[in-house]
Amino acid sequence: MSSRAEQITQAIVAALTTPAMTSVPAARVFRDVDSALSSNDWPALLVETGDEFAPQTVVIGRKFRSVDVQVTALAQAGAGAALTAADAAYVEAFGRVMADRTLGGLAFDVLEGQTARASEAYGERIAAIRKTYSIQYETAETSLEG
Amino acid sequence: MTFVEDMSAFFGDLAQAATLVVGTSTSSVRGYFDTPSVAALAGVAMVDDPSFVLPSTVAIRRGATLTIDADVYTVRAVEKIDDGRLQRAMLESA
Repeated sequence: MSSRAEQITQAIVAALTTPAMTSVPAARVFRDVDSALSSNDWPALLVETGDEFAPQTVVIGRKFRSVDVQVTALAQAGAGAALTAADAAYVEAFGRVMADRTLGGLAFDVLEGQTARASEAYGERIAAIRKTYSIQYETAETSLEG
Repeated sequence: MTFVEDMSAFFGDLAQAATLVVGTSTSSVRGYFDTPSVAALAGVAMVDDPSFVLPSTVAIRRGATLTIDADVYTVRAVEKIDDGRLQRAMLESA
């Protein structure tokens, strides 16, 4: 069985792909991308599992944990419009993640982290909006799974 | 210090013809077009980075339009190269 952090990331990918979003087709929701995407892949969402913080024992036998998950909306548009294009996917993805803050019972809350924006101009104008979610969950004291 | 150069020798038959529109002025120019791929957004994206090198005697500026091989580009920046007698127009698809 996979760790609860992995299950949580999978649940977020599922929330972003089923049913397919309006702004980003399900086939363009990428998990832990390790190579650069090209214009054929945009608009896109990138889902990355981030760091887990040291757990805390809140009651005997249970550990309180949190894992960061980053969701990046990537889009291309004309001059001055790339961030606006990415914003549509950013907003829709946020709605999907927050629609069920237990992620199907895997977590007890989804907290908002920072949002980072970047845009660059080359032959095309591209932009990325990265949202960090801090997923709060608990497991048995001796398990990473649940 | 540099030699006195005749730039016309570099932009003869081997250079590529293009149509430059600056404001209401249209002219034919010759230069060298490149469009390598570059990594952008901290490596997340791979994009084309087209540019056109031409003599600095050509009056070209941000916002001008260049048509190269029927492809239309907008000039997003102009930078001098080396001793300033050449310039590179950084392009984006219009």
